[in-house]
Amino acid sequence: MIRYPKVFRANDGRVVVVRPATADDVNALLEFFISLPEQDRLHLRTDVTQRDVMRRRMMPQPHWEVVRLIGVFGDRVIAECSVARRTYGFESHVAEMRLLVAPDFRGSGLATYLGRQIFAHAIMMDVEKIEACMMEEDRRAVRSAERLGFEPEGVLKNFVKDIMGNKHNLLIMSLRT
Amino acid sequence: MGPYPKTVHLKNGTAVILRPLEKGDLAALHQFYLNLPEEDRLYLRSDVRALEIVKMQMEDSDAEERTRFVTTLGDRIVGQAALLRPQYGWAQHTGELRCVVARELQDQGLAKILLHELFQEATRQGVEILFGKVAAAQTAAIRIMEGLGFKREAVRRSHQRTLHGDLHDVWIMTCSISDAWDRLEDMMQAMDGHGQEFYPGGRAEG
Repeated sequence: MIRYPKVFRANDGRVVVVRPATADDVNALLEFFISLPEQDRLHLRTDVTQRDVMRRRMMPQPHWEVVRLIGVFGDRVIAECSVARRTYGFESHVAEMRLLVAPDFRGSGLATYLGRQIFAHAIMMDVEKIEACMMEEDRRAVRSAERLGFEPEGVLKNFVKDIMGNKHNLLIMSLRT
Repeated sequence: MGPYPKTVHLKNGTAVILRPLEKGDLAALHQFYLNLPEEDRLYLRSDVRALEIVKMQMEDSDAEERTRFVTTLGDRIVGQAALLRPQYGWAQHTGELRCVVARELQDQGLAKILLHELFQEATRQGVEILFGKVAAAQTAAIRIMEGLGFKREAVRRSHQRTLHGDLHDVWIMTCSISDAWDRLEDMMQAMDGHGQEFYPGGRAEG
């Protein structure tokens, strides 16, 4: 069992509280996602700017095991990191990790901190392989994943379409727990 | 979607009914899976011998638009195919194909008929890139996909367990929908070909 809340001190001294997200965080999460550049939201699986979708997302998902941590600065959610695994099927040893940090907290060390926290959860979930997907040209995301130990596993050409309709390659990175 | 049910004819003249999968098909779909030989179930994405698993696959999802067709012969399901497309996000222009057909109809062009229906649906939904997932050992499925212009683009290592619990790699094979259409149209016109059908298996869905 990992105890929460935890305190993360950013490299500029700002203090962020890290804890699991709960159903009470729906409004703060909506504000967080709406405040992000649209392109940043696009690697999520659902439209998290819709209240109904967000509400369903925060409820236990049938057939999924999900751990969702958030970073809170003052009363603002400024980051979300999740790991999700299907509870049935022959891919249940694989989990996907997603991480989004508000622009004003990028480069603060929070992404690495949240990533490491989420790994601990993945191990407790008996996950053997963690995957993260990103645009191949998103150097910041790739560096962030490499710092956490992810390695490239494959590239799918033109699998990402940005908000302008331009296509980009999708990089799949993975890590053995 | 076009008018359903449709009657379609296989190479040997057998007439089968093609239509969207319905909620009431649960028991028949489960029976279809149970009737598959074990080697055809080996690389499916979940243990479809369990009714509960088949039921989960039929559920709706916030994340994916799932279009499914079945073909029936009498009161039996003899083929099942699905197009899975993200409902949100940066990959909405991609669609995953799945297709499984009964062993006794695997040389009769049934998979191509099902794929044709999925391609139409994919075009309607604005899909530009199609992909399928296969295990390296699924040589028959790979041959069919290659025949349609699909190429291996990524290998996901130790990504899936077989029915027996061994880990194996999963290939992601991709093709632009326009190329796949051209090849499929040619194949359907020359429907006197032979070979095995395309059955890359069903990913556990959620």
